[in-house]
Amino acid sequence: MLPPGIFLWESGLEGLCEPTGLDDLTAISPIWKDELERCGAWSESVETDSGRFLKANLKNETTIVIVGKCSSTMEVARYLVESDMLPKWGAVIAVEQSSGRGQLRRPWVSSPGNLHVSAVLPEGPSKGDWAKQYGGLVSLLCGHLIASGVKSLGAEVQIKWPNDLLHAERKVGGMLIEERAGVDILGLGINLVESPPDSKMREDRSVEAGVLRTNPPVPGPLALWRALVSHGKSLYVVLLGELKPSQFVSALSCHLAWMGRTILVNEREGSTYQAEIIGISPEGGLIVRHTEGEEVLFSGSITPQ
Amino acid sequence: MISMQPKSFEQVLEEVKGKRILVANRGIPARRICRSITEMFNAKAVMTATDVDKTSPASSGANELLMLGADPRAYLDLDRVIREAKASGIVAIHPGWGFGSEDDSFPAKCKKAGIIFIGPPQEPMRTLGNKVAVRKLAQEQGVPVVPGSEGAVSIPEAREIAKEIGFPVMLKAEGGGGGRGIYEVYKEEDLENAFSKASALAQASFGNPRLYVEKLLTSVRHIEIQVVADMYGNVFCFDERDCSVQRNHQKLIEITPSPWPNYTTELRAQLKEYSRKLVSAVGYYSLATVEFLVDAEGVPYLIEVNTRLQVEHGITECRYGIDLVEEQIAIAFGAELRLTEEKNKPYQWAFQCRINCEDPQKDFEPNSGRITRYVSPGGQGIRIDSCIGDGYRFPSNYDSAASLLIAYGNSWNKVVALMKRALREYMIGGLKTTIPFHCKIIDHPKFVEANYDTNFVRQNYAELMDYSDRESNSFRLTRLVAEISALGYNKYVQLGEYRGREDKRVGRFELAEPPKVSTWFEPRIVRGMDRDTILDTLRSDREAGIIHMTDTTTRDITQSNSGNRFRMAEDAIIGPNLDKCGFFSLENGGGAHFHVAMLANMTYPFTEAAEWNKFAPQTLKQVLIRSTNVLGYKPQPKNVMRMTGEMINEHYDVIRCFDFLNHIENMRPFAEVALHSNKNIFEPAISLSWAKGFDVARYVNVTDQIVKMCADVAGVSEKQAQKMFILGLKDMAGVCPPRFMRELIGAISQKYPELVIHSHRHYTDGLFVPTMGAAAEAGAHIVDVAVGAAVRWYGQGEVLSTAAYIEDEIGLKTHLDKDMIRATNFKLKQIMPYYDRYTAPYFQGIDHDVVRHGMPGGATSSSQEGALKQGYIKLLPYMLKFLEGTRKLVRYHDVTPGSQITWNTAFLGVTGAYKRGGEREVRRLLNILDIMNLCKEEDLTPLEREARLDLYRDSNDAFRNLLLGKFGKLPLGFPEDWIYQSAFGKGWKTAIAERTEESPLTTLQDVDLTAEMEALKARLHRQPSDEEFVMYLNHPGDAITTIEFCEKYGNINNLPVDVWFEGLIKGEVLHFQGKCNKPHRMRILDISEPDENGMAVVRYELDSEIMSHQVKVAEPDSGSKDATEMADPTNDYHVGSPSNGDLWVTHVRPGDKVKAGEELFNISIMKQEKAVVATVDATVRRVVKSGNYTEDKKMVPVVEGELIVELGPAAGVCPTCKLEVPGEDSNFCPNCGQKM
Repeated sequence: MLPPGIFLWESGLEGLCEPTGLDDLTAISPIWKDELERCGAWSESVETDSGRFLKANLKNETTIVIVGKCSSTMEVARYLVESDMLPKWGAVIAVEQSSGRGQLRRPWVSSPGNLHVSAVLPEGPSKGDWAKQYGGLVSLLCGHLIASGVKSLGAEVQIKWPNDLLHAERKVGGMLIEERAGVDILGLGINLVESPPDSKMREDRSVEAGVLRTNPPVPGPLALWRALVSHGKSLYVVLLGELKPSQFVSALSCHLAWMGRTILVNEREGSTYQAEIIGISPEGGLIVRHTEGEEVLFSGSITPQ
Repeated sequence: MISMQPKSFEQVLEEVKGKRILVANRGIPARRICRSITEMFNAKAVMTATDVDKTSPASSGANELLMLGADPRAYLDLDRVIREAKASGIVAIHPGWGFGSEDDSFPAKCKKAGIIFIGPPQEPMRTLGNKVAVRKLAQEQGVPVVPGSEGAVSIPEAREIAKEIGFPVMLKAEGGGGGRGIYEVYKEEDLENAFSKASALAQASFGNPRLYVEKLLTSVRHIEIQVVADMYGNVFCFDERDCSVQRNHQKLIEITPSPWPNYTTELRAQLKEYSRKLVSAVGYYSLATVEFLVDAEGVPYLIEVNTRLQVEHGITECRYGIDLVEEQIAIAFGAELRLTEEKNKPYQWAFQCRINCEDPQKDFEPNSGRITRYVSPGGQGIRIDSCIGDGYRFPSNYDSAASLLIAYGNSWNKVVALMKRALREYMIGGLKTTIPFHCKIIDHPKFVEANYDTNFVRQNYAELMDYSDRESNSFRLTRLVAEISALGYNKYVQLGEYRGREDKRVGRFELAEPPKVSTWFEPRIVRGMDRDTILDTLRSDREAGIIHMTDTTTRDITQSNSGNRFRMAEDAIIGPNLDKCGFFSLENGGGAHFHVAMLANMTYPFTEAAEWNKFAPQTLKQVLIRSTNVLGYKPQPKNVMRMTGEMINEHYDVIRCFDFLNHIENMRPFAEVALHSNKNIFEPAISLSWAKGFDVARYVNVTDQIVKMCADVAGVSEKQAQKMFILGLKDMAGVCPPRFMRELIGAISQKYPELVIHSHRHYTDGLFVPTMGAAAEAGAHIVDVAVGAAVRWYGQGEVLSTAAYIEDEIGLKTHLDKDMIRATNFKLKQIMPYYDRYTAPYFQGIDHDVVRHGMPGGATSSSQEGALKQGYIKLLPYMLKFLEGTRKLVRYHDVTPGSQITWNTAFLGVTGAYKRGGEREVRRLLNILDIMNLCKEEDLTPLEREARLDLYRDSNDAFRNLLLGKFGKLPLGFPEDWIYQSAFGKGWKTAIAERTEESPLTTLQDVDLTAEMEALKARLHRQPSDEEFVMYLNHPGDAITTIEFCEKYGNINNLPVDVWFEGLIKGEVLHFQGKCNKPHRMRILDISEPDENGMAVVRYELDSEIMSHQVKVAEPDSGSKDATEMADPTNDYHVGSPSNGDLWVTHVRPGDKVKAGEELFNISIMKQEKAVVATVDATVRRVVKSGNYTEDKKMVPVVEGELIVELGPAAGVCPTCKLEVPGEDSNFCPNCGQKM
């Protein structure tokens, strides 16, 4: 296992991520140049079966692995988890992704300077109220952690059910959770410097893309992630330990986008109807009300009217 | 502001008469208030109702409904309610409790609409209803409040205040309420940490991180004062209600007056004074409740004021004999308060339980669903305000309150007694309620003493939760009868669909009693005599030529002949007669019966034994145990053996114990338990075979070991020891001929003249009677027999014929009441047809060949039946031949579980050969077996040495474990090395190196009893009984099945045998006994045809109620397109969807080989992606649903548990016997019969 700290995967691994160095990254983006400098000296290096990692002097309470260009942080994180190198809350941040992905392997295009991270979530509770509910709520739970973390940085983001992040009515980020062999990996992308122009967005997108602006502005993706994980880690413990799932769901509603608003629901069969967002069900579904009554959505997507 | 002239109550009555009053509420409060509106005022009661509620029982109380449409939350839409009320001529609105009742805009909105609000005016309501405002008011008025901060604080401020008021303190979320958002801090050093946690929590829960500090009162009672005030400044305070029984600040029970021993009249007066002050100070009118916490010293603190009618108002009404709602309405219409201290004196005690549709044992989880049975209590001193009834579908949209049950009477003890009775009478079926939990509370001595605080429930939680929530015995039992009747067979006896509803039946069981037996008979031995007296009697009787007999009718014989299925109900019919026949003992338990009592007869075995000792109190009871295997099929650790042994000793007198290897050390833990009691008689038994090497000398040697072990355990000399126990001789196969038994018993009695000998054998070879004659003649003291009508060919022989032989042919005596045996037999003749018809095995004939193949007792029929059912009947002669040959190579006794091991080895060997090369290969195998038995090692050709390795290549783990010595030491030593080579293949040398002759007891680790107890407790959600625990330790899975069955259906021994096996047909009447000898009557009215889901509805009468019960009698109609194929969760090859979601990619196709861990498909669940992987190496058989989103942009909806991919064995290997399965279409493994 890599210990807590900030690492740079210098050697990379063939087919997963390219070799990189401090100079390479500095050259790619000025934001990263500053980020790396803020990490202090990179004097230590760690040799593993998977190659060489540089370690920064700056202390950090979780493990963060920075990689150069990779296909997707999801794949790098999955590899590191399966090689027993990435502990829980450990994360992989890529400066650049060649084939970053959203849900259902949709491409996620994003520039250096934006946050692209994949993090290992702790194992869900096996006892108590959460044991049954956790699986359905984990995505919203992450959304809540992120929204509340961003709030502490002086910006409002809202969760567009189930996994998009909105800021000033524009999509500034998205989440993805992939579970395999009992390990959940959270993929998170947040636009900090650039967002795809409206013309490049998917045709069936629901909102235009935008950039997250905090007050004061966060210096870069690494700083944002460090703030989010530090906030999220302790809130996670409180939420799971102190709230019942039903209480969590009601707590979540303050971050839920378009609460009480009439939106369009696009169901998978292609049918579309108007409905009002009422809340989240204890299982994590979106409760909407339409002319024929209430319904709980577990799939499909929503767009504003 | 009030310019109105005070009206009298009578004037208001006149004024309101015929007017329309709306109750803007639902459920219990709505019904309660409508009652008052219609009763006295003769007004029209109108009730709001959403679609969910429009036909609810509560709505029946209204004269008219004001419909609010589909949205279940419409009750909160006050503007709409007022608008519609206005439009329909409503003059006044009562808000009830909950919903809009505490919204201070409600009175204002009503006023604006020109409607009277039956409640307080807005301003005083706002002041009293707001926590901060009322706190301020209280301080102004000199009413004590809980010390704390005024409003939200920072950490340093919190520290300052906490120091001032002293720890412990509470951090309360500003946005919280109703007991939520409270954090307790006990020590100063924890404050900082707790503050940030509580703040984060408050932020997460209420979107507001602000906290205020309050002193934490650790031991308090919750006491509240009901106040009623009019518009003219008149205030009346009622005596307190004590609501200290709470759970998480939710009231469960309310009592008036407070039964707390520390409560004083001074405190009452003081609380009333405080309450009066607060209400008067703001010009409040209508009803209010002022709530206080009172600490252990009797110091009160105001917590809040409720500005509405409260759930617990009913107990105040009972205490004073008034109607608070009536007063409230009158006041709203301007009446002057008519209650005075002089006229309205309290005179009753009253006490309310809140009955909610919640399951306390699942953390008070609310439940909704149909109420299948509703019987409400009544009678003197009981009041019920409920919103439910029979057939009502309790909705999930609202709170879980179902009814308010009040008891009232003239003393505390009286109301406790009334409530106990009422809760017992109260029956709500179909969903879980808090009734049993309330019963536990009221049964608690501390509750009755009333010296507790608000922590009562928390501190006694485990105790209060320890109950089982069951419907009445009679009700549960009729559910079972309905099920058996609808199916036509009883699925719980696990005999498959042995009959159908249309099949011919044996008919009703109506016992004809035998003629009375008048008798002089005096038994020689009875229960209660001590061990030495009994053994002395046996010895002196044998001297006098008297042979005693043990009856096995209800255990061993029905085990061998009737699938071991004699229920306790039948035991109870013949047991009282058997008890008087003069038998030495009745064998009524142990062996397979212990297991089957649970598994198929759904009885607790030791409860059964205890019953036996009640209905047959006189004769000794005997049990059979299998040394280390105790009552199961594999060795048990010592502590389990001992624990089971102790329970056995409690219920049985004679403990017969055998070991199939005659490894005497294996019996030691039982010897320790039994020999140390002078009530129990230990009967170690020698397992007998009749074969080369198992000769008289060997068995005398085994006897020596037994005597030695017993002497060692008892701490006496061997000479002394032989007087302390009975030696059993167990010829389970029924193979030892008369001459052998004569010789053996002769030799043993010569060496141990004081040893009492008890001979047991089966009838399989047909020589039962002469052999028992020979045993008796040679010196046996006791022989085993059974009663005529139950005797077939594999169990014991018949008592009267054996007695006749011993008396007439041998010239010895017996001591039996033969007329009583005849009477017993007459009853048995009436019972046996049911067992013969439904449970008897196929093979019932004599099989003298048992002397060759050695298959014992019931195993002879069951194993041969197995061969038949699996389609191998033509191979049976070969299998028996294999048995005959193999018994000479691997030497042990033909007794459980050895007999099963031998049979399986033969079955696997022969069928394996058959599959390799047909009958020709089988003959080759048997040929080599013959050669191995005939030739010496040195005469074998290399070809033969090679060929013999086929003999045990198909053997299973049990056989291999036997060879390894895991059951104990083999009586004639380990078999030859080539057998290991055949059974273990490549690993044979390791097997030889690892084998042991030690007793398994030396290596088996003791079970962690505490952990096992916890596991069982968690499973049952309650404290298991000692018996349940022992059942669980011996047969965990089956014990749980039985325990759950008994909880569900009750005691099946209250059903007659015909109903147990056949059920009832339409119109038939069943009379049965319930608990406490209450007679019940059940009649089936109708059994419907199955619907498309395969469900039939059984309608029946139970006593005077008509019930209906749905029973699944067929598979759902597969033609209907809604039918979804579900994965079998116990089958590793069935891969189902982990939850509801969308299948978006499938990675495999039929025929693909997959490895364990390989991803099969991926489900998107609310856009989280879940990879579903194979758990075993396998071949893909079917892909039931497939998705390919990236190509076709289609998501395939799937439901939780739905079968997505069906796998098959990798390269067709049976998961059990690990052999290759030839065709993929086989339903069963042809090797071992494992279902594929």
